[in-house]
Amino acid sequence: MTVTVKYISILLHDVTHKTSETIEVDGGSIALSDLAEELAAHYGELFHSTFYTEEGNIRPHFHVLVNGQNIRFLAGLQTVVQDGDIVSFITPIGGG
Amino acid sequence: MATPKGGYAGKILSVDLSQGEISQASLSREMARTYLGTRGFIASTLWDKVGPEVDALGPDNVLIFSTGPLCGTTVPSGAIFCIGAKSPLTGLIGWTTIGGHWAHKLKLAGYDFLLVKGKASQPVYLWIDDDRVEIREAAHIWGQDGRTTNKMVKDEIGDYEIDVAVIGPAGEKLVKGANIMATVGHSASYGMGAVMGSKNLKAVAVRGTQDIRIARPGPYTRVWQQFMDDIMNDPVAMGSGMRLGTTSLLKTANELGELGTRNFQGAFFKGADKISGERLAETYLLKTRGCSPCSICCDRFSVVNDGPFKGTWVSGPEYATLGSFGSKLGNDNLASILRANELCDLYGLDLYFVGDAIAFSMELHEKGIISRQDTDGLDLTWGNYEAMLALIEKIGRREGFGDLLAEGATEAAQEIGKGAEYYAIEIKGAAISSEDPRANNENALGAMLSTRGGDANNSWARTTNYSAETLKRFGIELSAEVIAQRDARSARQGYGDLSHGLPTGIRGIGRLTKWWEDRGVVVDLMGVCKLLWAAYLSYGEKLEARMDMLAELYSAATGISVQTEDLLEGAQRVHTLEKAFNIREKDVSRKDDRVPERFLKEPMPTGPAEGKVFENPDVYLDEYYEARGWDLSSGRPTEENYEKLGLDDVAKQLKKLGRLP
Amino acid sequence: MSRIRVTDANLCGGCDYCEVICSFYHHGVCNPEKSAIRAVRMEPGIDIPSVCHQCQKAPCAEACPVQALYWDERTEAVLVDEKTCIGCGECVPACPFGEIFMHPEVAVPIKCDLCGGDPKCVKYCFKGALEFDTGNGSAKERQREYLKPTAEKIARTAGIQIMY
Repeated sequence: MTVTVKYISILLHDVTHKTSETIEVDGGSIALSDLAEELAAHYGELFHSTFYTEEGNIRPHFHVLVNGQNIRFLAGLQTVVQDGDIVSFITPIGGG
Repeated sequence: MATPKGGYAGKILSVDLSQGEISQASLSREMARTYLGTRGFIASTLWDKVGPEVDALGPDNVLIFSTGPLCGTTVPSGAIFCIGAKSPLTGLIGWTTIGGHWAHKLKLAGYDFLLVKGKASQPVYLWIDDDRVEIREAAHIWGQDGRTTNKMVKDEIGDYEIDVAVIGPAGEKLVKGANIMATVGHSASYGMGAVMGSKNLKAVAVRGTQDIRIARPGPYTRVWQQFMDDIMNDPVAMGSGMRLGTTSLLKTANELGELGTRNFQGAFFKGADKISGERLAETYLLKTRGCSPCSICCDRFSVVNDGPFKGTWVSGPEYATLGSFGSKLGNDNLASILRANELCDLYGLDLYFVGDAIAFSMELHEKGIISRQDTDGLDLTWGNYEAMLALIEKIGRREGFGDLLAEGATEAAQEIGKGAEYYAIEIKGAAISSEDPRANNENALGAMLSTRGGDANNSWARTTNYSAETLKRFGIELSAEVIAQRDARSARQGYGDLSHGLPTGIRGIGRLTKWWEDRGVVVDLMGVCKLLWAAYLSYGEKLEARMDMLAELYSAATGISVQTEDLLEGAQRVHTLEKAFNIREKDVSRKDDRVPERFLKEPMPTGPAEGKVFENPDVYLDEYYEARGWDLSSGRPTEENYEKLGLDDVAKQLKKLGRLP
Repeated sequence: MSRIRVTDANLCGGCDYCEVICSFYHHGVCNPEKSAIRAVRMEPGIDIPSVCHQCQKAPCAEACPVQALYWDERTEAVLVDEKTCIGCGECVPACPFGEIFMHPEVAVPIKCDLCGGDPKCVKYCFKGALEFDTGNGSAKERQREYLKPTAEKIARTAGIQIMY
C-alpha cells in the first residue's frame, strides 16, 4: 500500500532533503510507530535523534498529523495508517 | 521614594506638546511591582488620564511608549516594547507590541517609558539624548515617507546609531490603520500612527549611553546561563526559529487547513508553496536581522532582484505579510507581496489593517456589492496584485475609495450597506490574523477575548503539545470525544473532521485559553518576545518552567523579589484593568466577544476542518468567564475580582456607571 | 596573532547582543557604550561587527605617552596596563579602525582583551558571524585552499592523484 509523508517542519526537511514523498509499504496497514522506524532506518541516526527523545518519545515540538488529525488524540504512535493516508510532520508556532 | 535597583531604568519621561513642556519623574518601586512594565504602564496611565470624553485623535489622548524590566539586559529578546493610547481604530484600549532597537535606546537613555500628550501647533519631532530632551521643528520632514523620515532625522542629528520611531503620510492623514515604525521595518498598529499624527508628532529619535544595571548579578547570571543553554540546545529556536522565523507558519497553517484564504471563504490556499517562508528563503531572502538585543535574529530581510518589482527591499516579510497580502487575497505572487510590504513601510500602514481592507473589498467586488465605478476603476479580482498595490497607495493617501477604506472595513461596510457588514472580518473593529476560527479554535478564542480587539497573538495554546494529564486540569477529556468522532466517520475520505492541536468543538478550550492568555501577558509585561519565550521554547509542558525562569530573572535583575504567582497576579491585574477601560469606554460586554458571523454559519469548504463551523462559542465563553471568576451573563469582572487585584478605585468608578455586574 | 574575526558579514544580524554581553562581562552592566565590540549598521540591511585587530605594532600603543598599551604574549591581545594608564584618550584617534573607546565612567580605554582567551561575544553569537581566530595555520590553510584547483590541474596532466 502507499502512504504519502510530508515533511512540513524544516527540522525534518533538513534531514530528509525532501518536502514530501510516497512510501510503499507491505501489507494493508501499518502502525505509525513502525512507519517512523522505517523512515529512521532509511535516513539513519540523524533522523532518529532529531525525531525521538532519548527515552523514545516523539519530541514535543513535532506534531504528527494523519489526514490532518493530530495523533495525540487518536492512538498516538499506535495509530494505524492505511492505503492513501497522508502523514504530516509539522512544528507549529505562533506569530505574525 | 525608592526606585528599583536594576532592570528598570528608573525614570518616566513626559512631554506635553501643547505647552511645549518636558518633565521627568521617578519610577517608584511600587509602580514597578504593581504594573510590571509595557502593557501595565500603558493600562494604568490610560485608565487614569484618558476617559470616554477624550477624542482618540484629539490632544487629550495620551500616547505611551513603554519598555519592560528585562529590556536591554542580556536576556535574549529583551527588546520588545509596547506603544499604547486610546485606539482611533477600535475606540478601545490600544496597545501594540513591537520589536526593533528603539526600546533598547530609550532604556539606555534612562527612561522606562515615555508619555506624550497634547498637540504641537506645528509639526515637530522629539529628540531624546540621554538627559537632554528637545522638541524640534519638523515642518520640512512632514509629508515624507517612513524611510526618508528616518534618514532625514538621522542626517540632521548627525548620528546613524540612534533609533527613530516615525510615522508616514498615512499617520499624518489620520488613516485609522496608520502605524508607527521603529528601526527599519518594525510596526506598531491599532492606529497608533494616527494618534501620533494627530499630535503633529512626526518622529521620536533616541540616543542612550547609560548603564542598565543588574541588582543581583550572581543569581541573575546563573538563571540567565541556564536559559542560554536551553536556547543553544533547542532545535526549534536554533533551527526553525533562526532560519524561517514566523514564515514557517505559512506552510504549516495551510497544512492544518487554517490559512485564511480569500477573506476566509476557505482556509486552504493552492498557491501556498509559491508564497511560503521556504520559497522566500530560496528566492528573495538576503539575510536575517535581530531586535536589540536578541541573538536569535529571526527578522527577515529581503530584496527583489529581478522582474517588475526589482529593487524592492523590505525588513520582512513575516508570516503576517505573507498571509495578509497572499492567501487572504488569493495572491500567489511573492514579489508583489514584498512590494506591498514596502508600500506599507513607505506610507506608514499596518499590514493587518490593509490586508483586511483589501480582502473585504475584493469579496464585495466578487459579490457585486461594489462595482469598478465604486473602486475608482480598480479591478479588484482575487489575486490581482496590481490592483492590490494601487489600492494600498490610495489608502495611504486617503484618495477616492482608499479614503473610505482608511476608516477600516467595519466602518466602510456601514457606509456601503447592502450586506457589506457580513464581509468585514474583524473583531471589535480590528482585523484578525490568518488563522481561520473554524479550524483553530484556540487562536480564535484568543482573538474573541483580546482586550484590544482582533489580535493574532493572544492565545497560542495550540503550539504546546499537552499530555492527557495536563489537559485534564482544564477539564479536557478526549477519549470519549475522539471515540465518538472516529465512529461517526464512515469511509476515510482524505481529510477527517478533526483539526490540529486540539480537535475542534472540544469542551475545555475556554479554560485553556484563560490559562495561556495569563502567561502570554506575563511575557509581554517583562518586555521579552512571545515568539521566543512562549512558542519556540515552550513545547511540551515547558511554558510553566519559562514562567518560573522569568520570575527568577525579574527578581535578580530588579532586586524586587517575586514568585511566579506574583507575575501571574500582575498579569491578571493588567489584563483586568485593560478590560475595565473598555467597559468604561464603550460598555463592552459578552456580546462583543464574538467571531464574525461567517465562521458560525458557513461550513469550512476544504481541509481537515471540512464541514465544520466555529462551534459552541457560548460554551467556551462560559468556561472562560468562569475560569476568570467573571460574571457569566455580562462577561465582565465582578467587584470582588477588582478588589482582589487591588483595583478598588476602578470598581468604584464602574459601579457609579452601573457597569459592575 | 589572535583576534576576533568576522566570518561573513552577511551573517551579522545587527542585534547588538555581543555588545551587551561584552559590557556585562567586563563592567557588570548592560551598556553597548562600554562594549569593546560594536555592530555597525548601515541601511538598508547591512550589519558588520567591528572589534580590535590586536595589531602587533599597534598605533594605539605607539600613541600612548606612558606606554600603558602592550601586546600580551599569553593571550596575543593588546592590553591596557591599568596602573600605568592615565586615561588621556590619545589612543582613541590613533586607531585607524575606530576600535578603541573611552567612556566617561571608565578610567581606562575600552578595547577587546579576548576575554583572556574565551571570548564571550563569539560564544553567544548564534548566527556564527564571529570567530576566535588564533592565527595557527589559518593563513597557511587559506593558501592551500586557494592553490588546490591549480594543484588538481597539474595532477590531472601528470596522471597522478593528490595525496595531500
